[in-house]
Formats: sequence, C-alpha cells, structure tokens
Amino acid sequence: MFEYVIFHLLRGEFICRVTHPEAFDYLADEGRFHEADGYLGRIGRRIATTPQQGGYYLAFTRISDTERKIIKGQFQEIKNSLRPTIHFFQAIMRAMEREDLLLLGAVLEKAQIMSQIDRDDWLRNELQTVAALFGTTPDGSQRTMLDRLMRKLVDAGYLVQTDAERGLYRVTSKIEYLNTVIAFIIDNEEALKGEFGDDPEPTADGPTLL
Amino acid sequence: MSVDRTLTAALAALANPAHRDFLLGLYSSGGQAVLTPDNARHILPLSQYRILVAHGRERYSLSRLLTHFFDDVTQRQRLNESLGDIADQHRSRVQELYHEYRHAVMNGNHRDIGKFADQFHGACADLAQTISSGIERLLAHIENNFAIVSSLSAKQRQNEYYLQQANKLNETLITLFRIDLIDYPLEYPELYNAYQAFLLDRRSEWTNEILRVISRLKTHLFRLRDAEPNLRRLRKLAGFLRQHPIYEFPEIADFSDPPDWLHHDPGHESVAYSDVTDAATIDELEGIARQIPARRIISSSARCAGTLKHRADSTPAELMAIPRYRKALQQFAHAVEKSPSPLSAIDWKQENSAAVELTDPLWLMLVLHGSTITTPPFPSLRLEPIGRRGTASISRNLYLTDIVVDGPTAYPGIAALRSVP
Repeated sequence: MFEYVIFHLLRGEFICRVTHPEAFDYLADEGRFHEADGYLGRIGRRIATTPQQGGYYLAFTRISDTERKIIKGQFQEIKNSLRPTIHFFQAIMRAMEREDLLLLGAVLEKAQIMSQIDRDDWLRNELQTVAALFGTTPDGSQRTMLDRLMRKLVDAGYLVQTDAERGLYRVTSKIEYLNTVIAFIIDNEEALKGEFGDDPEPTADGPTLL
Repeated sequence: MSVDRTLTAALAALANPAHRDFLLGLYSSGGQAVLTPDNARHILPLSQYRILVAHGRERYSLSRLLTHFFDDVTQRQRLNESLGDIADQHRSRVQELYHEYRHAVMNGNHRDIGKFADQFHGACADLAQTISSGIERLLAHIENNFAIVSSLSAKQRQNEYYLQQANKLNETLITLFRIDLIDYPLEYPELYNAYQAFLLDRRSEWTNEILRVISRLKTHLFRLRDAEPNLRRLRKLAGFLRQHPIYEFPEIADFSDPPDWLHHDPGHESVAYSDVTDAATIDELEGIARQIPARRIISSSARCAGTLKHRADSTPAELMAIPRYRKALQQFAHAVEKSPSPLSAIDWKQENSAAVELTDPLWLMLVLHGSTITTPPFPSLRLEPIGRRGTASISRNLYLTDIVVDGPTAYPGIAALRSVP
C-alpha cells in the first residue's frame, strides 16, 4: 500500500475516500502519513491535505526556478479551465436541484441530468456554452456533449465514474481544491469585491432557484 | 384566472384531506410517484398547481419548494427516529430482566425463572440487532450525504442530530458493558451465555465502529459548515463571469511565494517497459498487442502513365538475340528455296562472307545440322554432301568438302555422298 500511495501521489492525483478509499485510510494513520511524507521529503515533495481534510495531494517543499516554471504552467491551466468548470457545476446544481454538489462524495447521475436537459432550454444552452469554453466540438447529440463534458471533469480530477452502466459519478476531494482557488480569486481580485450580485439565472418556467 | 383565485385553489388542493394523505405518503417515500389509475385523482389536480411537478409522461415529484418546507417543518419529528434512544431502551430492558431473573432465583420461583430467562435471551438479541442496524444506518447516511434531505441547512441539521445519536449509542455501549452481569458469570450461566453470544463477543467490534462513525460524522459536519459559504462564492463568481464574458483572471505577481494551493505538484506519468525476454510477460504482451489496431497506411503516390508490369508469379521473358551463324543458315535456306538450281554451301558462304563468320568445316557442320531443324523451309530441303575418301588404301575416312542443297526433297543421308575425284 505504501508503494501504491507514493506512485499515485507522484502522478499528481488527489487521494480521497472516493478515488482511493484504502489509500486514504492508509494515510489517515499518523505514523504511515509521516513515513510517506518523509520519503517524499527526500525529493523535495510533501503530502498536503485539502482544506477540509477530504484528500491528500503532492506539493512542493521548496520553490526554485524549476518549480516556479511548473507552477506558472499549472496556474495558466487552472485559469483556462476555471470558467467552464464553475459554469458546469452551477448548471448541474440547478439541473438536479441540489446544493451539495460542492461536497466530496456527492453523486451525479447522468440520466437525471440528461432528462433535465431535454426539458430545460436554459440548461441545454448553458452546457453548450460550457462545452465551447472547454474547447469540445459542438457536433453530435446532447448526450454526446454531456458525455464529453463529464469526461473533461473526470480527466481534470473533479469527478470519478463509479458505475459506468448506470452513469453514476462522484465528486472527488479536488472540489475542495477548487473551492480554495475560487476563494483566493474572490479575496484577491479588486474587480470581484463589492457589488456583483447573485447569478440572475433566467428560467422559463419558475422562480429563481436557491 | 386571477392570482388570488389561483392561490385560493392551490391552497384548497393542499388542504383537501384526500390530497393531504397522499402528499404525506409521497413525502415519506421520497417524493417521487408514477402515475397510475389509482393515484391519478390526486396527481392530476395537484400537478395543475405545480404542487407536483411532471418529469415526462408518467413520473411526478413533489415540488422542490414544498419539499424544503416540509423538511424544515418536520425536522423535530424526524429527529424522533432515533437510534441511540432505542438502543438505550433495549439496554434498560436487558438490565431490568436480569434483576427480575435474579429476584426469581432468590425467591425460588421456578416458573418465572424460565420466563425471565427466555425474555432476557430475546432482549439481548433485540439489543444486538438495534446496535448493529443503528451503526449501519449511520454509515449509510454518511455515505449518501444525507440524501433524505436536499438543502445544505437540512443536511447540516441531520448531521448534527445523527452525531448526537452516535454519541448516545456509544454511551449505551459503555453503560452496557459496565453492568454487574460481567461480575457474575458463573452464578447465572444461562443468562451469561446469551449475554456473551449476543453482546459481549461483539463489544470491541461495535466500539471501534461507533468511534469511527463519530469521527466521520464530525468530519462531515465540518465540511457541511463550509459548504454554504463555498456555494455562495461559486454562485457569485459564476454570476460575475456571466456578466463579464471577456474577464481574464489576474496573474499572480510573485511566483516565488505562491499561495499554498499552488504548491500542488501536477505530477509525472510513470512509464515502465516490459522485459520481452521474460517469459512471464509474453502472454500479457501478446494480449496487449492484439488490442492495438492496425495502422491504416494511406499511400499517396502520384498517378502517371505506366507500363504493365509482369505478374508476380511469372518470370519475365528474356529476349535472346539470334546468333549470326543461325541467321546465316536461315538466309542460306531461303536462298536455296528461291534458287532454280541447287546451291553449293561453300560457294554461297564465299559469296556471303560478311554474313558467315565461320570456317568452312564449321559452316558445313551447321548446314548438316539444318537437316534436323523442323521449322520451314528446312524440312523441304535436300542436302547432298560432297566429299572424298582418304588417300590411303586402307583409309575409311570421309572428308566432307561441300554440301549442295536443293529444292523440296528429303535428305538422302550420308550414303548418298557424292564422291569427288
């Protein structure tokens, strides 16, 4: 299990109860955590935890030119994907009428989302916009588009597919990382402080959701 | 229909006793219903006022807003479905039956001894079942993130409540294994056997599990308390981005001291190569190789006029040049054919020395060979060899000096050799 943990951390993955339950329990033991952390310390790395302790990930212990370059690239990637990721989660929360999708372990059911897409023009347009922001090609059916979007989120590490036959996905601990990024941006960007209001979300058939 | 009249009709539908019972049942069973002839008299009118919302032709669900309202109203009611309280009641019953049994033994009441022993046995089984199922239900609630309620605030209340119940279960376990039964194992073996089989043997397992559940409930509550502000931030940022579609996120001024979250190492993909000399990997490598699709090769050669090539299974013909002496022989044969009189081979050779580059003997041998050729005009020619015998009296040698070739009669053979004096 030590080897398993180290290899998956070195691949940049988030280890949590959803993605790697046994590895997560392994690192939950303080002694084992320190053992793995010490091992990684020899190569300039450490094990960090997400803000709500939902997951473990690999972090640098020192920032030299090499690490700075990697960090810049990573930040650029985060900036490029942040807008569609935020819009996706917000659209899905609206579609499924749930507020808990930003929690580790939350379940998404593709059939339910698809059913809502068929009924809701706003949601359909919103997801097409998200698909365009992600750079996916607009050809194909709505189902194909949704499949591609879910695949994007899986590849980015926010979702993991738990049941391919039933189209079930679960949110991983990387969502806590996303929440941290959003909080950082809101706290540090002048344009975002002040009077921007709640999302207007025009709906065709009902009042504004929560 | 005016707004007031619509509202009045909707409230009347909600207050209708028949609809009310249907709605209570629907809410208790998860809020979803499929239209059937039996429930159509409830579903159809309620859906007119969006008390029920249609999903397709036959599926309906309770309105989201009404569900949230019911969640808030029934929280105290729901809290009464307690796990720790029930376990505590069963624990009290076990203890009570122990004392009843003890009194019966001390009073010598044999009839009650049997009765209380049986009841003690049943109470231990009930308590064991309550503790096990209680722990399972707590874990299930954590795993499905309190799916029974949909709003964050309701989930938080559920979490807090179940944390209380888990603590109560833990206290029940502590109390249960502190009672005097443990100190008198030999005095009441028939009670102790049931107590041990149902409860004592599972003590450490339950203790570990309930402590684990409590830890997870606390962690979950910690996350739920942060979920609301996270949700609010995400919505605000999403709204801002929608209003400013060309907004660019700011750069970080100093990457020498980035925020903690940017210390994340995106990682490296490890690549391993199988040792193909290791026989143990052959089968797996073969399986992998079979899955690799053949590469489609598209040839892009320019079209141009060409010549037919030989088929792969045929060897190309070799053009052989006819030897000059063979040509000379054919020329001589055609000359004979055209000539009105027989022709001398030597004379013809001398007249056509450019065509025949052979010595006289070789030329004569070649002409003789012409008698074996089956292609025209050779079969129609008559060859008459001209020669002499050796000068010695006993010599039997024949010396060929010329061949006269005539028209279309067969060659008579060497016996017709004409002697030359």
